Amino acid sequence: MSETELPVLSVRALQKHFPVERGIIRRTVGAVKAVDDVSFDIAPGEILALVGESGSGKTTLGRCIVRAIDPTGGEATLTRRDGTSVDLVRTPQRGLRSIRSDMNMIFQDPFSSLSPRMPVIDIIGEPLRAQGIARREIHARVREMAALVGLNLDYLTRYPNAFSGGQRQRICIARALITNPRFIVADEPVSALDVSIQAQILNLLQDMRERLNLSYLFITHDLSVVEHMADRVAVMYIGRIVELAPKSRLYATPRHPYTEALLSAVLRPDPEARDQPILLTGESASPAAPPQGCHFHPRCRYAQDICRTVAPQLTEVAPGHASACHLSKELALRGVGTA
Amino acid sequence: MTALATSMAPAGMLSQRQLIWRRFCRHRVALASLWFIGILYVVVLLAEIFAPYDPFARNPTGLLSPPTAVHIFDDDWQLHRPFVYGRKVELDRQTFQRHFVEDRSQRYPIRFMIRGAPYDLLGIVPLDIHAFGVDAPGAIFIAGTDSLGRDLFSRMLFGARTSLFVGLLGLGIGFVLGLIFGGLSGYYGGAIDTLIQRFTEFLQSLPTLPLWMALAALVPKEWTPTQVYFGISSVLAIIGWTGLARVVRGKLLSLREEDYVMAAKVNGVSEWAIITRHLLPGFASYLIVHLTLAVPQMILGEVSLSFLGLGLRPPAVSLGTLLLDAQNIQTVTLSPWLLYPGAFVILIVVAFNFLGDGLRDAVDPYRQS
Repeated sequence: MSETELPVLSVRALQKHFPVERGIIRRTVGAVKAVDDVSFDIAPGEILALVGESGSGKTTLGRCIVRAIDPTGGEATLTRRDGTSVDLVRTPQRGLRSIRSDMNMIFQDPFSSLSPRMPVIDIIGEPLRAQGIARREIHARVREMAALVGLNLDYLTRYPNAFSGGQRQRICIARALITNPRFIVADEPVSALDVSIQAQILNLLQDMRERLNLSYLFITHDLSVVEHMADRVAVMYIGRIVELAPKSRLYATPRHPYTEALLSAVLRPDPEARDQPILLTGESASPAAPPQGCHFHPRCRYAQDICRTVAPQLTEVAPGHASACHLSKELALRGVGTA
Repeated sequence: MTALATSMAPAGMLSQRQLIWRRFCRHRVALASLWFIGILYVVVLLAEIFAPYDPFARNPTGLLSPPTAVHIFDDDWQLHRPFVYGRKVELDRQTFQRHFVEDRSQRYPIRFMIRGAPYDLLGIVPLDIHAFGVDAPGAIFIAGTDSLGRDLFSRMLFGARTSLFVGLLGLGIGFVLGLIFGGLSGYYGGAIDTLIQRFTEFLQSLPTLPLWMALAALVPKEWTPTQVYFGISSVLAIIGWTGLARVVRGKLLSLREEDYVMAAKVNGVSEWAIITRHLLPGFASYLIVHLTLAVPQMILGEVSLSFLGLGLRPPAVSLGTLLLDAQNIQTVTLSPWLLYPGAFVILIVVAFNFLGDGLRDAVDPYRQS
């Protein structure tokens, strides 16, 4: 992770607006800004965790980057294994096909993300098949990858319904890694799994990162998973990144009131802990009609007049630590002691 | 792709197809229906062989003859191979109606693979072999004769040929139309979807029978029976595709949103491969079932049109035109065997429904058996 090395992924001002249509003639009456001006970098081998509550746009952001959906604007530059760079936003779908071997995605629900009518060996081999690789070679590489992620090779001809949730997620991981990508979007890869299985899958992802020199954009809403996995953390609220910092800094000294509230909600296995969680009032605002100024101000207990009118920019408050809050210099926010 | 999986399947493991067949075999009625339908199609294709008589051959001495009884014992309780007695006509002096009675002095054993009226099998092979029959001057009418003295059983076989294949042809046309319109609607969505859906609703909201009648009226009178036959199939298909189009659209719309389709897209799989490898297998089984259940509707459609005199017209033979003879109360009271074609239609429709039912249960991989 040297400073001079190019980031694997560099996202600049990425936007995804969904048009809101009304009536029979589908008149566009507004836009849901699901992802609004998001920028960040991911270094080689780094795990960037993206956290936020439901509807904050985490998943949309992940899908835009791998172009499962087409972003509205911005840039996302991927540095490929051969050293060349491509802008994922501007490349048309057809041109993306060869680039897809350098990035992939792991889905949240291992039950709906596997074709129910395809044997597992074909599911894992599909990315290679799409690259036009010969069947014999696909076969060999599928077996190799299946062994690597801990699948029983005798069961590869079975259909997904023969597998448990944890095994299915291993199949998804094998499929995502078979083209030897540099970068993976992991969209809540463990939130659909039993807690006992979660640790196995997380360790598998860590292990794969070390062996294959992967970078992850790790989308989750589980802060204990973040603590286990992440190098850096980006906090998202209504389509925008509100705080971005290395994990230990963010946990110890959050600089945004929303992050403080999130952290205070983490349960700690400490019977002596007497801290009350900061309870946010009201609902997260709709991204179709976000509040003026800072999106968070209606729920923020520190809100001032300026927060109601001027939208704060994401600015660096300490080296490597950025926050989008007018008051981040003044406030002394409560973090949690990291282990 | 599947071949790859199959070649790897170790001995003793069942492929998906074998599993489906196993589950299907467990549904006894469906299995019986499959046999019935299979045999029926063979029989009607080779109707010339299986019918003892030419369907148009008149029998001037046997008008409205009741079904011939088959015996194995004679009057002295002597066992014989199956035989029929001769017939003679008696006049009832009180009602002045003619009755056929058995002439017990003559016995005609039923013979198999007997030589009879010559014909061209499938229009090509000249033959004169019939699966069964009796030597002249005896006659065997196992379903009786109609008002012109034609053998109803032979006519039912030829009529079933027409009706069963009108069903298939109409279904084929409707299937293609339904797949195309439903596919366009579901895959592209948006304005195309709205347009096609409103059109479908329009077609569905028209009452079926008047629409059939109007379309059937478009079939010119001077057309040959073959042309009429294609015309009627198309009429049935033009109305029949809407249901399938709806199903295809709905399935595509829901499957398109599945995570595995997005996964395939992220993995660089082409649109065509996504449709054929991921979307279609997801509801191919559903299509098969839908088709099986739609065949009897097509058959019933042809039968009702012909029964009303709007579809095929005599001399063309179909189950519907045969039932034309059973339209008045006199027939039903005096010659009830003219209703046999109706019973035959019921049998065919029920068999198709059971087959579809069994298939639907068998192809569902998530059903525990």
